[in-house]
Formats: sequence, structure tokens, C-alpha cells
Amino acid sequence: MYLENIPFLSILIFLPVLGSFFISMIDKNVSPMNTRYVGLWVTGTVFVMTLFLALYMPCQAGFHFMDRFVITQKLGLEYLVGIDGLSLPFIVMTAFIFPLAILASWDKEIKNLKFFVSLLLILETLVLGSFCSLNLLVFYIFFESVLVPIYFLTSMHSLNNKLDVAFKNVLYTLFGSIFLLVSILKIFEVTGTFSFIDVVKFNFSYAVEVFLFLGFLISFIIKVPIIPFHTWLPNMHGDSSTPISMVVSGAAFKLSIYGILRFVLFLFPQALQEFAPWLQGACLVSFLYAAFVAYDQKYVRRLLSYLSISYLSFSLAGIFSLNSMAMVGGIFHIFVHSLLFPAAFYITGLLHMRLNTDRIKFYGGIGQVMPQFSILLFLICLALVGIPGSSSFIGNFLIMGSLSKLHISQGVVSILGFFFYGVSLFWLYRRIVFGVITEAMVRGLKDLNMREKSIAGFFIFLIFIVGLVPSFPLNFSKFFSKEVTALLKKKGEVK
Amino acid sequence: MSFKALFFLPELFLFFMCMKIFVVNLFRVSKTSDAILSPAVLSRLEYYAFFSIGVLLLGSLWVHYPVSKVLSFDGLLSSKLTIMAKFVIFFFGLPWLGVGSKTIRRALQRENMRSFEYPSLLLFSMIGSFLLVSAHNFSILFVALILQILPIFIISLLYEEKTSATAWSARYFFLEGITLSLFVFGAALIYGAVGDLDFKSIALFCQTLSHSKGEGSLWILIGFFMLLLTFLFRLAAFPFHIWIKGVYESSSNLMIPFMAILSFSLIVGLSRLLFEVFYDFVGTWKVVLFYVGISSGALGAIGSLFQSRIRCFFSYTYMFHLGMVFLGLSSGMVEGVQSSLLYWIIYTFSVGAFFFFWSNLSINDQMLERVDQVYGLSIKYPGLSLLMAITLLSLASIPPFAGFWCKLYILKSLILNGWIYVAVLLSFSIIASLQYFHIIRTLYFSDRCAEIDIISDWKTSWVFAPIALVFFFFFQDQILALLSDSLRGL
Repeated sequence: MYLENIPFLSILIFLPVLGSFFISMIDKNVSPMNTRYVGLWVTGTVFVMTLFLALYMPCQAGFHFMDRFVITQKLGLEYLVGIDGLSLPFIVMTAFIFPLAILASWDKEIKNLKFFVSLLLILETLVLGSFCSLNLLVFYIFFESVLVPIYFLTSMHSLNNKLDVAFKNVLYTLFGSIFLLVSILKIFEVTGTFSFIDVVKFNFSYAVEVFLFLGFLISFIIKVPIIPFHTWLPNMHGDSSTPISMVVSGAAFKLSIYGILRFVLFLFPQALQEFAPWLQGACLVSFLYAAFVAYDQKYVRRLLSYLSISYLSFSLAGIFSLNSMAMVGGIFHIFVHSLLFPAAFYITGLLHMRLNTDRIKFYGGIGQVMPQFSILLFLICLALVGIPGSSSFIGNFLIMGSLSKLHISQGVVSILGFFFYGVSLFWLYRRIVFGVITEAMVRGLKDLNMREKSIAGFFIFLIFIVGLVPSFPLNFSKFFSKEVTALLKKKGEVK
Repeated sequence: MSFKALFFLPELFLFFMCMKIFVVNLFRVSKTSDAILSPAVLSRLEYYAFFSIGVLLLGSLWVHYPVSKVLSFDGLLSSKLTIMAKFVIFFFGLPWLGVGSKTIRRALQRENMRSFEYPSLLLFSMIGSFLLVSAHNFSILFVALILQILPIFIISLLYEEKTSATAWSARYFFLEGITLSLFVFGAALIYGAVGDLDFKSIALFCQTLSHSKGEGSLWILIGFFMLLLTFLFRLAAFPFHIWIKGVYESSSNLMIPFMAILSFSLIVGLSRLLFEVFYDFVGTWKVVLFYVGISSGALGAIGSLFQSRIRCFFSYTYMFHLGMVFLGLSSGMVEGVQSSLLYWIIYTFSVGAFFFFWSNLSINDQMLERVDQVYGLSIKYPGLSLLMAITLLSLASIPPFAGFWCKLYILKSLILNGWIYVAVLLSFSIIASLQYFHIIRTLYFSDRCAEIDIISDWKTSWVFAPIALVFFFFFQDQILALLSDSLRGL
């Protein structure tokens, strides 16, 4: 195939960073809108390229569009990228979120716009690079480097106590990275290679596998995050601006989930079977706790971030159940999360932009002055809670059904969790939309403009279209679940 | 002049330049009242000629180096390692003489360093470092140790209106006297046992001792530890670090990169001593170095968290990075030395780049002393701030910058010591990196911008230093090959 003969994937990965160089060369006196246009064109082009990838990707299993060159022979380190059925949906979702994040910042007054857009583009390169890396150390480098643009972005455009939040994120990320780096070095010591393709064929001894499994897992669950490693995320979302929350929830922190799916599940099947019930239990507790805590939040973004933790914990509970249907549901849920939560952060961010506050108590009675906004928010809330027809319904159905089948207690916890989840969400909706207007500034609010409506509408359209025609993410989820189940079967035990 | 004496040319060359600067300006000063450091000390053309000749000289020695080691004057060894070390010392040390770059000259003037002796003294110290890396007996090593540090004491006395520098210099001089006397005593003990001060004879003696478990091993061991102590003190490793904070704080910003160069020569000297002379005691010294490394790293990492003054902060991070180097050496393998030397070269390079940019900044024509003085610098000078941030990220070992790769090589050499140590070291490296992030956020995240002026054009060749740190991974194989070639004879 023609695309296989050119370094298409590398061009895709590094195009945003080239765009950021170009932006840095734009003259100071040129209108700031041009920077936005360049950012939009670059991210838009990357998105179109990912669609090409999806269209032309061969149906066979294995990695495609591979590029490689040796970085250092001393370490046996090579730049090795390629995609398969697991990474492709993540890449498409990442490329989808970035242009929308740039559009979300369109009207926003941004002090150092060139720097902001450049950072977004660098971040896109790093996230795409992580999803495509087939070398463990190169993955680590991309994964860890994400910290730098996120640190700058959260510090630049955060709202309240911005510096501490960015600092906390650095601290957590660096702490998590210890385990990952140590595990990667251990893999190198044992196998003599960093290449994922070679490592996956290797059979580790049980003790080594448990060591590596825990190293990888701790590093990734800190960044997902699940309870009790979650404290940095609500602060971060609470203090970040809309585009950053969209990018972070939709793309950057999917890296950890991807890390779990790609490395933890494939490389350490023995340890996975040993620890899976514990992890599943921890994820269910995290799901229940985060949904419960969300109810009491006073700030919209903090509440949404708790719901996001809850949602992802539920997805992971499905994956760690090692039941093929629950795994399909869990993976599907993760893909859908990349649509739902950026949409939620975007639409609530529109209110924040108008009122300059994120506190729920100032929002009462919005429905009277912004009816269109209220309808769109309602549709997003329905999708978040998983109404039939919406994209998260399929995931919820598959996970909840499978968990209930495995053990009734798991079904009960799932139902209870969803009860709290739904209550928190609709309690938020009620407090924003209904009630008496108490704040004078709310009275003067204008409803959404055409661009805002288009972006929110586009999100909602996709959310429901994926719910009604779920074949694209569902096929990939099934494919992945089949591969993991086959791998576990090979090891002798599968539920 | 015999063929062997050719390898002494770099020292002669430095000495010649040093005397040229000194004598010519002595005459000039006697004729005029203008004793300040000015371009007349050494014209730009002369400076670049000096720089190019030095690089060419050391480069050609490297290229035409014979297979075996060359011993000149019975006490100066020339090997690929010593030539490489001299090259690094020359290349990274020369900019800080204050004669080439306008920026550094201006910075020196602002620090009231107006003495024309300054560059000559630094050159003397560099000659000391040259001798230190190629010393092949304890007499030369002793001379080198003194020659390296004595000019630095004198420089600290030359600062006008900086009494703390003089005070710290006197304290350090006192402590240095004690450790040097220990060095002499240690060398005397070894001489008593071996009957020679030559490294090769001592190495042979140690080899015989280790096979026969013969008499005298205790004295040799005590002597060795006294020598080691001198190096640990000079390098400010834990627990001999008490002087470092005061000396850094009271000295000039421009002295910090230069002191990193001096430390490089000490690390090379120490590596030679450990691997060429006392390798038979490897089981003993690797444990000592390991604990010294861990302690220095821990103290440096934790101490750096509480520093608000830039030089104090760098004194602690210096200790942290030194701890990493010791851990590399403690592997007891040539790969560990290679990682340690690479680590220190990159550290020196990064610190040099950072302080070059930092020295460009001033408030009311005063040098900046505290981290918080640069708040919001990125608003006024985004390019300069970006370069500083890249340098700091590299020092914080964040991938893909050069500092990360160096840390990785050290970790790799440490794996044999046990995984728990790797994890502990990584934890320290996280703590150490936090304060670098603090400086970055001061540079970037402020609504206001400090009233900072840039004293000279910062867009010089130093701009390439942070860029080199970013793209280091492309060249690391070549650099490692060079280092490995240098260490072949170790």
C-alpha cells in the first residue's frame, strides 16, 4: 500500500511540532488570530491524516505503518513506531480533540497566544508519539515529556491557585515515573531489549513479572487516576481553562489507560491473573467513592473531574474482570470518555467564560436566560449517564451485565455507583439550570453563539452517532478483547 | 625536545598565555591608572586565536596519539583520557576567563572584579587541573592540587567590597590546609610501604599485596583513605561539604561554572587513582563511594528545596549531581566511569549555559542573587527565558533533554548494586528536580515582569548550548564512543 511506503506515521507525529516551530517564527505584529488559524490548520490536518490511517489500515493483526531508526546503539535504543487496532482509536480521538480545543479558545483572551498554541501542538506530538511508540524507552520519553507542556499550560491559564496545582501535577507525575523507569530498566536487564515486539514474546519468571507488573501499574494508575491517587486531578481541572481540561481529559491522560492496555495486559499475563480481582475491587471502590464525593462538590469542574475518575474506574473494573464482554465494554467506555468529558468540560466552560466563576451557587436559573445552552447541557448529561442511544450506554450495559453475571455483589456495587453518579450529575444540572436567579450577572447572560452551538452540537452528534452506530470503536474493542483473552488462554487460565 | 615532551605542550601553551596576559598588562597598568579588566587584556582576535590553537593542539594530540601511554618528565602521563580531560577543561573553562565574551566581561565588572590578574589566575588554576589529570606520582598530584586551588583563593581576595568572599576563602584555606596535610601524610604512609611515589609502582605493589595478603596492606589502606579524603573534601562530598554553600554564596556567579570544571578534573584524577592505582581495593572503596554518593545525593536534593538564593541552590544541586557521579564510580566498572564523566560534562555544560544567561541579567546594574528576582522574565524576554528553561529542564533530568540520558546511564551502571538503590536514587532525583521547576515557574508565571535589564547581547554562540541539550540524543553514540576510546587504557 502506498501509505506503508512513506513515513506517514512519523510525519503525523511530528507535524504538530513543526507547526509549533512555524508559530514561533510568526512576527509579533501579525494578528493573534493567525496563530490560531495555523494551530487549527495543523491540528485539522493531523486529524484528517488519522482518518486516512483508519481508512487504509490493513485488517490483519499486528503493527502497521512502522518506521524505525536507531537512536543509540549503546543502549540498543531505536525509534520504533507503528499502530495496531489498539492504538488507532486512541490516535484518532487525540487528533479529534486538539482542533476542538483550539476552537474552544477562539474567543478567549490569551496573554501569550503563540506560546499557548505552540505548547498545545508540542503536546499533541508527544501524546501521538506515546500512542505510536513500540519501544518501551521511547514510550517512556514521550510519556514523561508530556509533563512539560502540561505544566506550562496548566500554570499559564489556570484560574485560582495555579502554581500549586501545576506543581502537584509535576510531583505526582515524577513520582509515578520512578516505577515506570525502574521497570523498563529491569525489562532491559532481563531481555536485553526495549522493543515491545520482542519483549511481548518473552516469558518472564513469576517473581520478575510481579515486580514489573506492579511497577507499570502503579505508575499508570497514579496518572489515570484512581482513588487514592486522585487528589491532583480535581485541583487541576478546577484550576485549568476549558481547552486544557478538554485536552487533558480527552487525550493526555488517556496515555495511562493506553499504558495499562498495551503493556500491563500484554506483557504480564500471569501477574495480571493473580492481581486482577484485587484491582477490579479497587476500581469498583474508586468508582463508587468518586461518584459519591462528586455530589458534594461546589465547583463544576471539580465535580466533573470526580465523575471522570468514577467513569474511568468503572471502565477499568470492566477490563480487570478479564471477562471478554466486560473488557469490550471497558475499552469502548474509554474511547467514549474521550468524547463525553471534553464535551462536558467545553459546555460548562462556556458558562465559566461568561461569568468568570466556576462556583455552582452563582449559576442558578441559567435555563431562563440560556435555553439553548440548557438543552445542549441536558443532552450531554443524558449521554454522560448513559441513556439508551447514547455512546456510553453500550459500555455501561456490557460492563454492568458482565459484572453482575460474575458476582451479584459486583452488580450491586455497579448499580449503586451509577445511582450516585447519576444523582451527582443531575443535581449539578438542577443547580445550574433551574431555580431562581440570584446573581445579577446571570440575568444579563447571552445564549450561545453560532460557533459555540456548532461545536457543542458536533460533540453531541458524535456522542449519539457512536451510540447508534458503534461499529468503529466496538470492532476495535472486540479485537483487542479477543487478543487479550487469547493471550490469557495461552497461559492456561481464563474466566 | 623529545617526542614525549610534545604531550606537555598544552600545559606549556597555557603557561605561555598566562604569562603573556600577566606581563603585558603589568606593563600597561604601570603606565596608566586603568587597571580594569578590559578588552586590552587580550584582544578578541587574540582570544579566538588562543582558543583555536588550544583546541587544535589538543585535537591533534588526540588524533596522533600513539597506542601506548606516554610518560613525560617521569611524572606526567599522557593517555587518551588525559587529553580528553584537558580538552574538556580547556573548552569549557576558557569562556570564564572574562576576556572573550563581552557579556562575561561586563558581568565581572558589575561584580567589581576589575583586576587584570583575574584571567591569569584562572589560567593558572587550569594548568593545575591539567597537571591533576595527568599526574603520575604523588608529588605532581600534590603540586597540581595546590596549583589548582591557590589561584581561586587569590581571586576571592580580589573582589572589591565582598568581604564575605574573603572570610569564606580564609576558612576554606584553613580546612584545605588540614586536608592537604592529610594527603601528604597518606602519601608518606604509602611511600613508607612501597618505597616509591610513582602510581605504577604503587599499583604493582597493591596487586602483589592483594595476592599475598602481605604485610603493609593496612598502611597502604590508611594512606589510600587519607588521599581519598582529600578528594572528597575538595569535591565537597558528604560529609565534607560544609564549605560549599558558603564558598558558592560568597563567590561570583561566574565562578560556579568554573568550579564545575575544576571538579571535573578532580573526578578524572580520582577515577585514575581508583582504577589505575588502587583497583585492588575496589571492594572497599566502592562501598565508601556508594554511601558517600547516596548521602551527597540525598543532602543535595533535600537541601536544594529550601534555597531561594541562586548560588546556594546551585551549591546543593551540585552536591546532588556529585552524588550521582559517585554512584556511577561506585559500580567499580569502566562503564560507570564513562557514565560519570559524561554526566559531569553535561552538568558543566548546562551550568555554564545557565550562568551565562543569568549573568546577562541585572537590576539597577546589580547582579541577580535570588531566584524570585526573575519573576515574569518571559514576558519581557521570551527567547532568553526559553533557553534558560531548557537548560533547567535538562538539569532536572526531564526527557528528552541531555540530563535525562546521563541519568539513565548512571542508573544502568547502578543496576548491579540492587534495584532498591535505583529507586532511592530516582526518588532523590525527583526531589532535586522540584526546585528547577520552581525557577521555571518564576520565570514564566507571573502577571508582572521584574525590572530586569539585559547587559549585553545574549544571542551569542551560547544560544546553541540549550539546543545541543535538546538534540543530545542524536549524538550520544558518538560522544560515548569518544569517552569509551578515552577510557580504554584505564
